[in-house]
Amino acid sequence: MKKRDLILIENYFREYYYRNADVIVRSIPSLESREFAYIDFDNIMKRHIALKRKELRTWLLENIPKHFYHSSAYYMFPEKEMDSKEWRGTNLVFDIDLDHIIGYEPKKIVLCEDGENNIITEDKHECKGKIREIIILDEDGLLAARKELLNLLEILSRDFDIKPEEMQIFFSGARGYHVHVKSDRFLKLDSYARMEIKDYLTFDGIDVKYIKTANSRPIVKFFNAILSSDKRLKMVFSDSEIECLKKLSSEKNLYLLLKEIKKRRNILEKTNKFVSNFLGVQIDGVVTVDVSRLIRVPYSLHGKTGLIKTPIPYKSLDSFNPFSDAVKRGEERIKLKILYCPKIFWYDDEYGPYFNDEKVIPFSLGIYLSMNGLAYDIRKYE
Amino acid sequence: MFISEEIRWVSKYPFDAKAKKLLELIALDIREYAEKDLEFLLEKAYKRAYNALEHNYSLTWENDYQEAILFYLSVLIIRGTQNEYLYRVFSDSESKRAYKLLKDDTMNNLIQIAKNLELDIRQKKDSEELLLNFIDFIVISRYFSSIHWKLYNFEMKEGYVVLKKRQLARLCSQKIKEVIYEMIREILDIPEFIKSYSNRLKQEKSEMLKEFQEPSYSDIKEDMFPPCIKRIINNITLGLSHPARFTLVTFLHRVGYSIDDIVNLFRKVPDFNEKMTRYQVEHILGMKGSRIEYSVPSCKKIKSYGLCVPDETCRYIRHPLQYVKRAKDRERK
Repeated sequence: MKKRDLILIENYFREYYYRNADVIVRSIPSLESREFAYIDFDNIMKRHIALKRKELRTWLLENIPKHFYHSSAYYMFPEKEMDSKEWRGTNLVFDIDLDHIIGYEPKKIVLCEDGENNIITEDKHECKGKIREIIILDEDGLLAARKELLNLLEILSRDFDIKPEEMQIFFSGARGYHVHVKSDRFLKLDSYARMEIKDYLTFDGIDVKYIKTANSRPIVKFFNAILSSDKRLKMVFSDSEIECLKKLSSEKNLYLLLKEIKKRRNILEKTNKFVSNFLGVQIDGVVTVDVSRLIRVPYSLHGKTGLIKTPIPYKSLDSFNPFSDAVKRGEERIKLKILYCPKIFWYDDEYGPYFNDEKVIPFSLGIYLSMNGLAYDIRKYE
Repeated sequence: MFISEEIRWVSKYPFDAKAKKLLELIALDIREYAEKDLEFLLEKAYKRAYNALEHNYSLTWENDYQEAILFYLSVLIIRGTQNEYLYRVFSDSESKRAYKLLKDDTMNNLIQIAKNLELDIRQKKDSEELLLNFIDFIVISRYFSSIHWKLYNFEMKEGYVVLKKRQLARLCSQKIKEVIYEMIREILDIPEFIKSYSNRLKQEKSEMLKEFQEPSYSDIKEDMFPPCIKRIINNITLGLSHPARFTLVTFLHRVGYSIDDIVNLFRKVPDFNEKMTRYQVEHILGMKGSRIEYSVPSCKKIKSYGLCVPDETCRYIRHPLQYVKRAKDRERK
């Protein structure tokens, strides 16, 4: 990225934090017991920072983070090295990221960066410089992530009895969602306990052979997949095996189904594969299990997109659109050289598609494209 | 409840909070057991302690009152040995006795015990289904090495795990093990006449103690380790996840590494801190904190941690220690 684009972006971040520091301060519970960390515009990570509530605003404006994080954990001494922090508890958090969702294939834009001139190319092999693959969040991606999110929320509420008002849902600022559980019940759970919760959701390492309870979630989900003729069954089972499973389920008796699966070695192994690959919730498990994880600060800007990590009220989940709801609002517009911009709805207006064109677009869209390497500042400076 | 019923309760579950109170009321002052005409009781208590260490316990007895007293006297004798290992074997054995009694006891008694162990337990009306708060479940079930106890193998309803009677009894017995262990350690003064029994026990059990001190897998080399453990050791410089650290420490301990050996190995970890590492290792090995010695995770668990990198031998084993045993057997041939 060229220097003038960096300056443009940094100024955008500075202005945003100037106007929104107070919202950020208010949004962090137990702020003074958290470790803060950030990546600056030279891409250097700094961590083990403790902040007082009243000094966060000044600190933010002095440091302008490109990525801004706080720990999911509370500590006695957040500023000390890991071993001396004295852990007091950790919020239960979940991360859904399109990068971790199997079955979703994003459309990739291939950008070839060879020194001066960057070009969009169809064929990777034509590029003599550095290849950068860019993914612009689209409707399909958003739907895929939302499907996992709704699945997650349903299990948390039905199986774990976590009430909707105890859950805070966020758009991550890039390509996914975060769920923070506010309840104190889970604060003291260690990594092992969190791993059990994670495994319950993802079905990692499942072996149906060891299941004795026919009403357990893996069996119920598998049963439903058979009854609804889930298309993905064909990716694991042969046609005759699917027929066999259908016959076994025809009496609508879960216990019988489980018993019969266990008897058939081939089907058992494939069931394990199917259940763990397709029926679990696709979360990034490390985020949940790690008790000293750094998570993006609510209302902070994402350093790869310039979008805001935005809270989403439960009832607005279906209508949430990051390109209008997670965007810094403003009348300001900017003229940029745009290498490529797909057709995109920004706020309520439609832009693009643009190819190698100079256009005047909303500042936030300009930042989004420019952070993705798709647009440049070509204004003349005096 | 009639007094006889209460004493029956104490004889079955002497570790229970309610039982302890009752016993304080009915037991004699400890010194009175040193009298000649009660010496036979001490002999019997000695026998009970000895048998417990052999995992040999009886589920029937003639006199409830005496059975209750014998438990307490045997706890004193065990405490007098000043030997952590014996404390642990005794607690383990007594908790197994409790499990056998609990699983065949009435539903009400089982629920009572669970509640006294501070478990959040409910019974569904007009149903055999027992509901245990899932946090209690995962906090206890981690000590079981069997993959059966993964949370996803159970049905969950609104934050509660649906259990059968036998399963709840098993979970209770794990808690009971901790309670008895703490009970032993809490005793501070041991009368001299009890100590003579403790010393006798130590002498008669000297074989067992020797076995404990000398690792059962002496003369084993690193190339006999299963591939998952080798990989963890290779990756040590990159820093280890909690499960990897846990797997490694429990494994190395079982194959005979001393705490110092293990701590030394961790020197290669990037954020090495001797005090912290020693604490963590001792914690895992049950010398600090919860005082529960964790067992080496089974292959299934290791798989679920994402640490399994199987080779040909792994096809025939279910536990990493079996790998070492096979390697040793091969060497002997």
